[in-house]
Amino acid sequence: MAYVTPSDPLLTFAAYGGLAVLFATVALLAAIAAIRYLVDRRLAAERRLNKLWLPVFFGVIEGLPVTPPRISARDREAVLMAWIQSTESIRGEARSRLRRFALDLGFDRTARELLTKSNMRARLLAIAAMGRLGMSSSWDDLAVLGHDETPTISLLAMRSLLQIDAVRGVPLLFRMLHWHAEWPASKVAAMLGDVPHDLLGAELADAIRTARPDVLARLLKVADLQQAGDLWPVLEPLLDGSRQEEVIIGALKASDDPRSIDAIRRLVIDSRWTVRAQAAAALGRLGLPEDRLRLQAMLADPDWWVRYRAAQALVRLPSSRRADLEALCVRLGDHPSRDMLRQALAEAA
Amino acid sequence: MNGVAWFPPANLGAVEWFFLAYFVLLHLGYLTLNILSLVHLRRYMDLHSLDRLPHAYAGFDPPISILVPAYNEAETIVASVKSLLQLDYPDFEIVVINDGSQDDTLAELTNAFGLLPFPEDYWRRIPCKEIRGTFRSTRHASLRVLDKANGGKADALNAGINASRYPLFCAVDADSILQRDSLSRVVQPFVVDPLTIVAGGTVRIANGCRISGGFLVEVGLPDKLLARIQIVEYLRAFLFGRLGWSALNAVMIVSGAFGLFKKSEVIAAGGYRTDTVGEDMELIVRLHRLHRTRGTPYRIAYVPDPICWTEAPETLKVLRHQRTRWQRGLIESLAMNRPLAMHPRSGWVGWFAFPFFVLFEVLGPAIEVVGYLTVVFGAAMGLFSWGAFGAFMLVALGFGVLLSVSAMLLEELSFRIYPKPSDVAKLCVAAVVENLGYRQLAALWRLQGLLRWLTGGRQQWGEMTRADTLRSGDKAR
Repeated sequence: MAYVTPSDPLLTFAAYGGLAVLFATVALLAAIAAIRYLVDRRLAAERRLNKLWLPVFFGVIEGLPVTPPRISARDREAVLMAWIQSTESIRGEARSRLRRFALDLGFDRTARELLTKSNMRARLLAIAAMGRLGMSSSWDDLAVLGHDETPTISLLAMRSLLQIDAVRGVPLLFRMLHWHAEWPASKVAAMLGDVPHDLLGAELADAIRTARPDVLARLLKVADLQQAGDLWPVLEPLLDGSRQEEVIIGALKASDDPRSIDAIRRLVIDSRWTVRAQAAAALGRLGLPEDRLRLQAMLADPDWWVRYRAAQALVRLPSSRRADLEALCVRLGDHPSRDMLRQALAEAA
Repeated sequence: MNGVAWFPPANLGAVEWFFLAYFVLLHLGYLTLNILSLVHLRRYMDLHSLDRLPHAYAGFDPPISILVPAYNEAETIVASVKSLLQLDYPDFEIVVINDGSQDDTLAELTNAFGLLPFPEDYWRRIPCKEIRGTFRSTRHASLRVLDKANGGKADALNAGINASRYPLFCAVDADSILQRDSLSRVVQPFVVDPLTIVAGGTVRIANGCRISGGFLVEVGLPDKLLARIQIVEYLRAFLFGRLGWSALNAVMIVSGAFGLFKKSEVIAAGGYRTDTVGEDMELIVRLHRLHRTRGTPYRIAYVPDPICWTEAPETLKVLRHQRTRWQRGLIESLAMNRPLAMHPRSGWVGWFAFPFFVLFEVLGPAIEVVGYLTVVFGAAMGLFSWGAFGAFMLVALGFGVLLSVSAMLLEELSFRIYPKPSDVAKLCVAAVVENLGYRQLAALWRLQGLLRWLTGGRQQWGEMTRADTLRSGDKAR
């Protein structure tokens, strides 16, 4: 005890540090209690509003006469959220009725106000609401947000633009793909789910024809996922062996036109295994009886994936009979091709 | 730890300042992680505020192979696979790898799912032990079972990777309980960022929760204090540990219980190493090393949503085994990837995360134990005042409590998994009590892990004994 005195600077530091930590801990515990109280209160209010408003929205969807309850200013955000939830699962006239009802209640003004806030949640809610309300007056604001560097914001803004006006929105979306390298093809394809196929097919063909090489692969993936319209005229030149690997693969995946068969046949001997594998898969979809020998030869490919896709394609060929393929297995003896064909046959069984 | 600042005068000076510097660095590091997590989590929650809307996820997400390594899991494997088959995801397959089980794991699977031998043209891209047979379910086309010679969890996962068909694989422990939408959530980093090679999810503790049909249906707290303390530990480890590192693309651990990987990257890295007990962490550190040293861009992401639940040990014996094993795995992972440390191109992960783990996670327990012993010894021998002893304890334990409480705050600001205020109060109590004995014990176990690594010796998977099973039926635990 004689060695250390309270005047030791480290001891003093430790004592004050300890007290500061203690104080901070108490403050955090108080913050936890306060947050719990406030969030519970907010959730209770949301439940109350949902209980009040969801039957009203349901009545509007059903075309029944409804008298909307009064909305206080602080409840508008929660009611708007409940309205958006109600719009998600409906289509056609019911959705139009719900939109007119919301406009009568002044939800468009609420959305505009929310968009000016710095709070991210409020802004996201506003962007989603503007699309579902069909607010063409907000087109320019949303188009600016479509350039936002945060994908969640830019994608949501783009979806709202498509909901407001698909005819203007689709070409804009394909142009925006050149800005947004981070926009995933799967999200873009999902966004285009509600767009009429004839409109989508024509715009997609245009976009593919004029796209930069780095955007082309994503557009082809969208084409593959959405299977929209007649894309053969724009896909044909892309099925050229000298092209970029991912472009050829994308074009092969998107090809569903019998006219592409010759191009596909040329690609089964491509030097890149990824292209050969995809060509085999495409032959499985579009191939003719005379492609059987071609696919049979691919069973001896040095790459596992090419052998696998070729075996699957052989099983899927419209003219293939199981008994013939089983006989082929016997003829192949101990050749490695046999193992793959047996696997594909077992998978299809 | 700072306790050894009160040595006799002859030893004051360098030693004193070393411990002070260590103490300051440690807590500055944790404080930085905490702030990073707070910012990151707030933004994450805001950006996902509309996720509760229908159609939040696209129906075109990439297909996933779920790999379930199983060793002597006869009692639970059927329930595990049944719950996996019910996951809400557009396209996935399940590959169960029976790693030479001594019990009826394979027979149970065969009976439950109508397995038949399947003529698989097995492609051995990563070396693994002999594959004795491949089976396919006659009832679920997406379910296959590999039967192989025993080689450990890492070897089983490698065998599963070889057999998987899809570009992403999800490694799942047979006793993990997944949320129905777990795959949809954990795949998002891959969808939004093509540079993503791994995504880890948050693992929560299922003790005390109600499980039905292989899914968690009601969250609750366990009765045992030991399990509650581990809940606080997990909150700390995931909500401000991994989340903070994630903001710097420096996540070093993705739990073996649940992680999603880009298959081509793992194969290119050589698969899981079979000569470490920490194969999950080693793979992550190796992927960092390979990408950093080659200068190829990549992202290892962390999804803070609670998507996987696991059972925590409820006895000290089992917990000790788990912690010594984890510590050894951590040290092996770092030792095997030493070139990552302070490599010129290693960025945050090599210049900050790696040294942080070595200084505070590997050496920390040793310094902590030495610190506690010194203080107790010093106080008992009258080498320093009780005032000094009190100040030391206040700081050392106070910081521990502060960090745990800050993790609780992050939880309240985000997912609020525990709905009852009384549960939150109980966890706050656990956050305090944790520092009065448990933390010191854990430091001792981790020190044992360090010593075991230094002295060698082999530990196999399957040694971990659970206190109970989560899937043996509908139950509240």
